[in-house]
Amino acid sequence: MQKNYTLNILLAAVVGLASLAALLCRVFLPAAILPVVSLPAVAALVLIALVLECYLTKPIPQRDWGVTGLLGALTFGLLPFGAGLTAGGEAVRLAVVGGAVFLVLTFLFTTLRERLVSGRAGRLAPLVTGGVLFLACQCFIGMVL
Amino acid sequence: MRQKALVRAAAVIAAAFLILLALSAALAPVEAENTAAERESIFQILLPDGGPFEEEPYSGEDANISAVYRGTTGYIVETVTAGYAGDITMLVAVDFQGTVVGTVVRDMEETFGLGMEALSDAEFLSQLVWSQGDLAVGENFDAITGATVTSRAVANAVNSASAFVTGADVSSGATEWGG
Repeated sequence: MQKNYTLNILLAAVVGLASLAALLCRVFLPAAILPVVSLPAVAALVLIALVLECYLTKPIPQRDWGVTGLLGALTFGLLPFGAGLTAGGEAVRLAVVGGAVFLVLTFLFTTLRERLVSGRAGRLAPLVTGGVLFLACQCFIGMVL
Repeated sequence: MRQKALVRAAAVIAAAFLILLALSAALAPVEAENTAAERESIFQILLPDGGPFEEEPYSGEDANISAVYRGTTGYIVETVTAGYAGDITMLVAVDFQGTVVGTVVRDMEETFGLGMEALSDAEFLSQLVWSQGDLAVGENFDAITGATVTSRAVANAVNSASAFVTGADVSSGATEWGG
């Protein structure tokens, strides 16, 4: 099966739009207190991209895990840095952490996706799975950190 | 085919990065202008008729104080104290007698529903006004339920600002009580 990188393109779109929104808020609403760039925020962005991919691509694409992870790390390293949300060491840290979270969540979500019910009754299944995975991430991060 | 897909993905990331970088650079002057205007309007609310405000260099020992602005009726002190989830940045307006006349939280990362209440809990915030560097959680200052660390950080910030104006020693009880 052909390997594709649609997920990376969707992740770039989601992270890019989130960075753009943060940039515009910072410029035009300087009094607003924005959410920090944290693990739950990274997990939420990754899960949005994964759910979108689930709705947009069928069947489940084969992945080159190394390249997918590398592109994910690049996305989290470059886009928030471009928007001025991170700088220097923080940008590198976000790239490493974001890439790792992206790989882990992609593996988990893909595994779950293979078992999701398809058809009319299962239309909301990817969305609900993403939501539950996000809550699980929050719990796990709360326990570990 | 695989190479093409990979190049397409890399190109999308590079394009998004360049667009954000260009936008960020283009909007930098607008951001500086809006930030200055917003700060000035907050200063006017905290110390009405207290302008113009001029930043003074701060060379004291209190690590909670990050900047000091002097007006005609008092000071506005910017403080950064350690909260539960991260730093809490506040602006504290203090008149020349050391009485706190206004406060506003500028940035915080506290827990929603708990520490974040420090932004808007009127009962909690009203305790800060008219204090004179003597706030002590559990003594004369009621903490937000479930957010004692945040409340202490806020009390520390207000005590530090008042102590700056009155000249109280930052290592004295005036600022210790809050922590």
